[in-house]
Amino acid sequence: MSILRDKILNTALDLFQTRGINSTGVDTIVSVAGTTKMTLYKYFNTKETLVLATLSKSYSDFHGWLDEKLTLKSKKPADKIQYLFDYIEEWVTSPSFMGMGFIKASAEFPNEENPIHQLSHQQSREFRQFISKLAKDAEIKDADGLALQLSLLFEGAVQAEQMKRGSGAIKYAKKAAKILIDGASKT
Amino acid sequence: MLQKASNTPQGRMLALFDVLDDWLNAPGIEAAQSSLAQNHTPLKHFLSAQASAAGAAQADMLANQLVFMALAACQEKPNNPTSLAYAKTAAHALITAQTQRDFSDLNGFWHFKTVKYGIAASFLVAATAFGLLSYQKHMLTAAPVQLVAAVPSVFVEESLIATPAETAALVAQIEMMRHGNCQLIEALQLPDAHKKVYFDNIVNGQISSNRQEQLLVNQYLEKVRCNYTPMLMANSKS
Repeated sequence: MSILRDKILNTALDLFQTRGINSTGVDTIVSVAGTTKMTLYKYFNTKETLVLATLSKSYSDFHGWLDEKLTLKSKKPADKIQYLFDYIEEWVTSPSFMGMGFIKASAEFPNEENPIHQLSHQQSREFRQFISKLAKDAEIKDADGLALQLSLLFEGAVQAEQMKRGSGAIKYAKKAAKILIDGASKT
Repeated sequence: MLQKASNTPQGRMLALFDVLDDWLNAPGIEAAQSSLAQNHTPLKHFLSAQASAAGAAQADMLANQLVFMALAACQEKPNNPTSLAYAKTAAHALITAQTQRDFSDLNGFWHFKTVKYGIAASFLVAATAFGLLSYQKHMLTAAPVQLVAAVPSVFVEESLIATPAETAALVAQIEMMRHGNCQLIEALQLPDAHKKVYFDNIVNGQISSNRQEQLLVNQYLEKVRCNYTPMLMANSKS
């Protein structure tokens, strides 16, 4: 993995998150990263390839961080779901939070045929499956149903937070998640 | 449509999910799916007004989230036919989270006894605060208001004076509440005529001798949950 490639990827990720994908041109990316278009196209054939790579990185960073935190925190797999929204809150309220790649990208690319839309949709599904797995570990019967609900809460709150930093949306989502998890655990 | 769907602001917000579900279940609706992506400003305004009426901490934000959740659930519908029902339950939890006051900084629950002297100032806050427990049980049924609506709303009738025994029982019950740790119900949702009865009798402890009013008071008292253990323990120390 080349250092230059990483630099371009990180710069692009930063710019896409703060300014939006459509409104960030390749010219801006190369000038901020201090490289040339030639180099950029050497690693990423098209802008779309670059966008897809930033999305993958953004999601795997988030997912990896979350998974590690949950594993360190919980002794039993069944406990993990209880802490899920605690760590989501930590992530969302951290100063470096700039939005969730897949939520922003699917809003910017609503066309279902678009590969960027498809990847963001796939990541959204993956995250829901991750929650569903946590719910199954906690022996919750309707794990998929709960996962759908929690992911709706999560995405709705992140979207609100993207619109307005420090909105507190995630705090209420966390409370709501607790109500739902407690409710689902009883049945 | 949403306006008429329920007589509580919570119910009107949640009706969005039913309406969308019905709509997506209608035959030949695929072609109209694109209209989901249209301008949602009027809907958000409506939901925001309902959220304010329900006492949401951040009404605009809640309205935005509800629209987002509803649309995301619509997109999920082809894979999961019950997605909107799930989304509705999640929305209900979110509305509850936003409308439920957090009293953790006031030493957990509201202590009826200690706040007795400050009632005039705090009754509004306290009265809007609770109701969560009963909501959770009847997740998708309507608010307490409908249960009580069956009681005739004409209260002033001379022939309906309660017997001393009935009044005494009520006074004793209210007196007992003073020693407990009680969660009052959300009085802002009550009809105006009920509000006055509720505040006079349950909050201020001035028991009416009118039988109809006492019936109403009893109905509301059933919704007030009290925990007597901590206060008894506190009493035994002093």
